[in-house]
Amino acid sequence: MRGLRITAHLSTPVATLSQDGRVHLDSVLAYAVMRPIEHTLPPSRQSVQVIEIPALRCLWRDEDGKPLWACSDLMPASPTMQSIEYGHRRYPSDRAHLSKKPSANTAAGQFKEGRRQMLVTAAPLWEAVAIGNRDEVQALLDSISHIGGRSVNYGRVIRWEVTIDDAVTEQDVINRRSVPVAAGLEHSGTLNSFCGWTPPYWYHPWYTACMEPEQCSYQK
Amino acid sequence: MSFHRFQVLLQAATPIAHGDTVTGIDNQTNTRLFMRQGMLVNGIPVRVPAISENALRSTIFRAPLADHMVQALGIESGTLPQGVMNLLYAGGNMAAGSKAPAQEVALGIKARTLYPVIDLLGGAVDAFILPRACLRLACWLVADEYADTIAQVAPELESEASKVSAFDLLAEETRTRGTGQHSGGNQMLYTYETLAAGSKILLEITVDAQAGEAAVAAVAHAFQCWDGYIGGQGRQGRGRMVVLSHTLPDSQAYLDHIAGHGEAMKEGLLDGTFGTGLQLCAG
Repeated sequence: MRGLRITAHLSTPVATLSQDGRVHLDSVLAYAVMRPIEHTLPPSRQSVQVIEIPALRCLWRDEDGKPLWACSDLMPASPTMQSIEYGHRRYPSDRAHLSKKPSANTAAGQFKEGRRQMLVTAAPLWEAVAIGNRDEVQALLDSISHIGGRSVNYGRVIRWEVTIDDAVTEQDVINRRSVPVAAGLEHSGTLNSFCGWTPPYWYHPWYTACMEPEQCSYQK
Repeated sequence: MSFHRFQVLLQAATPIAHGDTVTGIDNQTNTRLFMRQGMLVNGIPVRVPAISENALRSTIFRAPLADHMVQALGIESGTLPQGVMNLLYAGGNMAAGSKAPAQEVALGIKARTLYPVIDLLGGAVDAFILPRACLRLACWLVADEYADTIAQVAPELESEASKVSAFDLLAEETRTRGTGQHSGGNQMLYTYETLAAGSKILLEITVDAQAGEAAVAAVAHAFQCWDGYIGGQGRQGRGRMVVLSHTLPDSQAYLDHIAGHGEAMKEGLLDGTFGTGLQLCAG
């Protein structure tokens, strides 16, 4: 396994809807590993389980065996523009005649209409660093067409570039991702007392005190 | 390839009215601006005219496919549970205080297998969100601001794209909303930006490789059911689009699926179980 520099060429903005506003590369890779075998996994979201990513080096495991993968978050590596976009949810009143109960309370409850804002980040290049197997990482990423939140409409990746860069060290990776304090690894960032550090990042019971990177971009 | 990918080149036969969603903070004029998207043009942040993929998802795929399915299954007015109707036409909402059943993923997969439209577009039932939808959309105006991207996804259009700026495709229309009384004033003028007739839009459709054959075919069938309009002011003839070219698959597999599973599909919609044996949408 060698140092890798991973670049995503984007053609549409990324909706960074995760709690920490970042795009986690280990999450993207875990999804790529999981998708083809999804039907073999426990049929419940309550049964969250670790997805192994053999293409990446594992830096540390906690006492339950959850892995800290040697890959940073994906960050903009080019000038960026952040903006707010709005999504609207409406009750389909033009088809309400099909329903047993045509009228609905659209001011509150299940059919409440709404306008939700989303922070989106436009940047043509997003970059991460990792320690792993170049060919395997490339193959996994080639199966990923979109990244970030609301990926049905945002975050279209035109192509992934995975290049070997022996200048990338484990410390580089550690400094650019969340690392549990319990891992005892040296980190240049700041302390966050409640933070995700391994996929799935939406699963709060796995959150713990972590060191987080201060920098928000790799642009030099 | 780990996914299916299709392209459709659309051209506006009439001007497109597609209002931006920004508030007065970003729009201090009286004109309703055309939809814009933040992006970098030659390294400079600009809000560039764009078409919302989210809007196209509803207009081209969700509503036409739902209409077709309802009609093909012979579903009559006043027979669908409210949550089912809401899921088919608006993506659904979870009910307050709902608790997901333990086997929610298995139920979701079962529903997706029986209903290619749900496989494609996803949504939420009363108690949980269905597993991730298989359809992803991206779309770009064939204009200079998007030329770099178009060069990579549809090189044959790059030269055409680089000839015109998206901002040069914008125009304004002003209309009058009357009160029915010729005297007494109280008429309201309103102005909105439009995108010129003749403008071209490249629509890219990505479908996960794990999607069923019928779901992939439903992508093509959606275009056959679509009324050809996007954006607003359709009553005034705005937003009529023409498909210039496409790489869509054959739609027969979707029609075969409906023909082969029609009874089960109809029953699953009417009782809100979606063929899972458990009521997922009440009302």
